[in-house]
Amino acid sequence: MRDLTLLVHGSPVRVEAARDGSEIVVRVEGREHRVRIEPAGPSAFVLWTGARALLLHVAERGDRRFLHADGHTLECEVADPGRTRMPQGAGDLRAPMPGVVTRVTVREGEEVRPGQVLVVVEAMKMEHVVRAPRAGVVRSLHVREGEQVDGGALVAEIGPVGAAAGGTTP
Amino acid sequence: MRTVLVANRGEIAVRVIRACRELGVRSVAVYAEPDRDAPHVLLADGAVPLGGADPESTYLSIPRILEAARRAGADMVHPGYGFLAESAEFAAAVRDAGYTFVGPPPEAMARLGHKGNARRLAQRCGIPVVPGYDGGEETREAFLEAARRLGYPLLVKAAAGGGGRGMRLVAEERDLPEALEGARREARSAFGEGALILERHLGACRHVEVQVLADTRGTVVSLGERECSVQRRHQKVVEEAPSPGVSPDLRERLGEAATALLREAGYVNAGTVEFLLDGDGRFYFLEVNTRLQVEHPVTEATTGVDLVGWQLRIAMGEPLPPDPPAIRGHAIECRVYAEDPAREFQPSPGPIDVLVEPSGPGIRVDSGIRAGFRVPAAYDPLLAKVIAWDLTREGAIRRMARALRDYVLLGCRTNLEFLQAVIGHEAFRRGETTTRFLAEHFAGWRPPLPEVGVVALAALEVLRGEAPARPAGRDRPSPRGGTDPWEAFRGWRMGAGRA
Repeated sequence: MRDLTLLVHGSPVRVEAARDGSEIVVRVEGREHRVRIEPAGPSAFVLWTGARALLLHVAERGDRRFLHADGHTLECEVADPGRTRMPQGAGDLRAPMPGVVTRVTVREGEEVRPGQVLVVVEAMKMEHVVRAPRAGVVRSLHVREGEQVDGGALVAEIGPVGAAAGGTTP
Repeated sequence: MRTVLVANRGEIAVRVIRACRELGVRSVAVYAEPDRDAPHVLLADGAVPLGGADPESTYLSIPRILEAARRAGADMVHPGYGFLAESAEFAAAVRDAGYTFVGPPPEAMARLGHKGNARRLAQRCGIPVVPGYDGGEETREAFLEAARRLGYPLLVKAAAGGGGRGMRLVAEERDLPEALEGARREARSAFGEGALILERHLGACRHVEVQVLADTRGTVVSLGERECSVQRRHQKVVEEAPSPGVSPDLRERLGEAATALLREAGYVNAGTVEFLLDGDGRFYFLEVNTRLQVEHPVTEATTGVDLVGWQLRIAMGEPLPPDPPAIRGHAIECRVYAEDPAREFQPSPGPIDVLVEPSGPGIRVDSGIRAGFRVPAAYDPLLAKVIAWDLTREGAIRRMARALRDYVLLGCRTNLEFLQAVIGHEAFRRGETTTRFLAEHFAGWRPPLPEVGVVALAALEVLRGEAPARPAGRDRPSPRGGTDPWEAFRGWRMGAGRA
């Protein structure tokens, strides 16, 4: 069985899944499901669970996957066990939503206070502010003013004071 | 043949274009750059670019819109809602340039669009208003003194405003100066005028509004009320008609108040009078929206009246039938937004990769999107509206729940799951909706994790793991003879480059 961690709406869900002939076996929270799945045209699959055929609609954007099944819309990322996931820790600051960078208020190498404004992203007449989560040094900046950014895009990295800019994280 | 310039975008532009086509009137769309392949552009009989992308230099620019009307050979201009729809200056500029404005005369707009003026006009008509201050003297001291008289909590509102902008809820006196400053700043940037009024905050109320049509011959009719209490940050999410909190007797009194006020103001075309309804059945005049409302379809569903069609017919001089229409059944509207309800309703613009809109008995979808369209970040997050009608409120709720289940929209985050939760909530089913409904029942809401969805995601992962490794000719479980089983995956991956 293959161990999978699905980040569904941002919450980790552990599942086991494996092919068994024409079927796929999926274990979720101790329950076992035997399903068949077939492609059904662009962006569509049919999921057979027992005698029920369910139409799935799927879309993929970068690491994000969207699924519509049985009246529900799910957004999912897959944590790949083959690759150690960069700890999306306090150091990586990402754009909270797609939009335009209206302000960049720091430079690389600059020391920042906790809560200090680093970057302002504007979308649909709403401003969203990216702040330093703790004291540190701006190790890198990945956006410029006026630039269009995608939701979740890396905008800046904060490292501990004293660490060299551009250094590697453990 | 008459030509209407549709000075808007999104679902409302589509709605106006459809009405034009049904009346045999030519329609010409306008568009900013991010909208060049938007549905309203593709549906109209012609389309004129406004250049640029930001709202100020496109859909909000009076000179650009007038230039577009000239290029389109238009003789009428429909403003939709939002953007310039409530600008008396725009309505006057349209008229002065020789076009017919599909809306009220600019004088009536100016009279009613100003909250302070409208309150005084309502009082003259004997309509109760929310206790407040619109005294004209705009000093900090004058506001502080008026606020002491009114009591806290209270609302600071932009006198020229609407739509929740320039509005602040103030809990106690020490917060008032900052709220005044902030509201004034927002009001200046949104409406070009910083004048403010104060209103006592009435707490849990129903937000009820009366739809009115008035023609050029002096006929003014009420088409009944809508309830729009389910709101987040003063923005409506679910609306319905009739209101579960309005009796036939109250409906009559609300209708009389609304028509009296608009008659007094010299109003023509479609307009909406908003009221707050307290727990004891008392109503208070709130404001007039001098335009078509987003939620107009619930009134269309319960009266059978094509409001946008009548806007155009009134503008062309046609008289209204003398008797108001009967109200039949119940209608609910859900607004589908590109936003993330689990993250404070943050806007979530982006691409639409898959779109399947619901249909079936009693279901209507007014949509401004299509598969392959990228929802621009520059404008409002409203994507579409689902309207469900049935003979009873219970039936309309059941139809809405079914339609929302069937709605497939993938590629950007939407509030579709949230809407299902709202429609399915016991308090909503019981009709216990007040303006505090979402705050009371949905704070900290998270989308569900249905097991069948998790199983599907896991099964898709297994399938995906098999796809790239497939050597040519190797025997694999092939579910369907003749078709390439990986075609769907390639379709799935097509959009992968642009996150």
